[in-house]
Amino acid sequence: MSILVVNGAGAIVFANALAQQLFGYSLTELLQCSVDDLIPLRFRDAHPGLRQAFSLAPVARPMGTGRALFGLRRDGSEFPLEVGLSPVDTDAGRLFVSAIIDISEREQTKRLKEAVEALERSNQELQRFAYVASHDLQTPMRSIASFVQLLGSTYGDQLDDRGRDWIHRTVASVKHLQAMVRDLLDYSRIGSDHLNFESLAVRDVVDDAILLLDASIREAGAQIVVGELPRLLGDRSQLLQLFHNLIGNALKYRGTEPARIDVSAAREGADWHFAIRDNGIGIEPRHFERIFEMFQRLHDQSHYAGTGIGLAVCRRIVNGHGGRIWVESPPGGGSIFRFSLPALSTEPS
Amino acid sequence: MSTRLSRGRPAQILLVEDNEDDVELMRIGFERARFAVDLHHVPHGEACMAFLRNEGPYADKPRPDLVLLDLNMPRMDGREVLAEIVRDERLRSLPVVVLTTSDSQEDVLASYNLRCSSYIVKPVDFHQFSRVVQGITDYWFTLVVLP
Repeated sequence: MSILVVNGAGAIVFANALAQQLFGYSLTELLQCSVDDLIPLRFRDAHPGLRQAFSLAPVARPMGTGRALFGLRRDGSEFPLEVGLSPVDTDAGRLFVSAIIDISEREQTKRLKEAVEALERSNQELQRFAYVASHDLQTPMRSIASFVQLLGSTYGDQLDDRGRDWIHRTVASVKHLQAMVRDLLDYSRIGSDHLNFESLAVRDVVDDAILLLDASIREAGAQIVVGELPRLLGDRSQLLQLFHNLIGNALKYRGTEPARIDVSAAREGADWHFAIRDNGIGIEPRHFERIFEMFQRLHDQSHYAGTGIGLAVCRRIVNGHGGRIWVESPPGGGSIFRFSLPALSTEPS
Repeated sequence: MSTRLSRGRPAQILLVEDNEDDVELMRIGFERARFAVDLHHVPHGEACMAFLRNEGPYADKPRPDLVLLDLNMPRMDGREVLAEIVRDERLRSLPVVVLTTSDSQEDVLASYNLRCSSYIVKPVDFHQFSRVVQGITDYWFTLVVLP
């Protein structure tokens, strides 16, 4: 603890080694200073008055009970401090012993803690908002879709083709809205605080994704070739969603030839690089960045239905796992979606 | 001809649901399912407990064969209803199917932890609604043995 002893006029009469270090002065220099010199200019005018008031009614003031104070170092920098004051009567008159501690670190920790708490609060509020929004939005959408469908199935024969077309359009729009809200909710759920890491065989995850896509694979008459895949640390349900979205896209944006999709992985330094390669319609290089943004779509609903959230979800999942995702257009056509995931640290690279 | 419970009476279903539209859709769904059902409706958990305990205006109501329970409701929500039913030994054997808009893992887990009999996410349109209602009647009133 830094100790400064000051007389009734504010002159420093003693400073221990820590006090010299704290303020950046030698003892000789300090003994020529007034204690007011160790206070930032903006507080300095008030200090002699405060000092006098204290010397007239000198009550020991324990540390931590005063207001926030600042010290001024020799180099002009400031730091927050706490000071305890005790009057001592000596032959040389009344002296004041001040014990000083630098609380910059404590202040910084406190500020950091407050920032983290504020972030956690806003995260929780966001999750809560997403839940309420999706729930409360789904309910009226279900009503609209259902009653318009009932209108069509019950009274459709009293309408002409145009009337039935309008019903069809309404239902299709509401279903699109429902899909968007559902996907948005999925996106909001991929917070990194929900990650549940385990050591898993990526092959199992890919097999599950293929199983889920069974109907689309049959419909597309697709051939899916899976190469050798590693084990790594990941959140099983998120990685399943990642492969499901990427393989699902490869099926959806297939070309005129029967779809062929290759899933493979290669070691690159500390990471595994995964590739999902298809022979589909491909993507122009100028769209390589924006397809990973929310709501960005390259096609209209009548050609390829979708919400524009799937790849944003993929990017969020990969980033949450400490990797990155990108796309390439190979010369022979089709697309290659690539993403990296950290390898298990015990494995030799 | 509609099918009836093997005991020859219509199945008694208590629908606990605060959304009038969903009540109407369930009603139409059961009408079209061609299974004889008396669909009773209460709008929240408090009324549900009163119905099950034959209190107040529900003194003459029959004990339901099945409860269809929404989760998010005013006054007393579905989670509280499940907890209350498990605590009450006269109600504990009652099959309760949660029927809710929420597909969140937390709600699913919490409901099964409170011993719900099944958990169904509300369908998004009427065609699926009909399938769900058909599934409920097929499973609960023809396949399984009820207490």
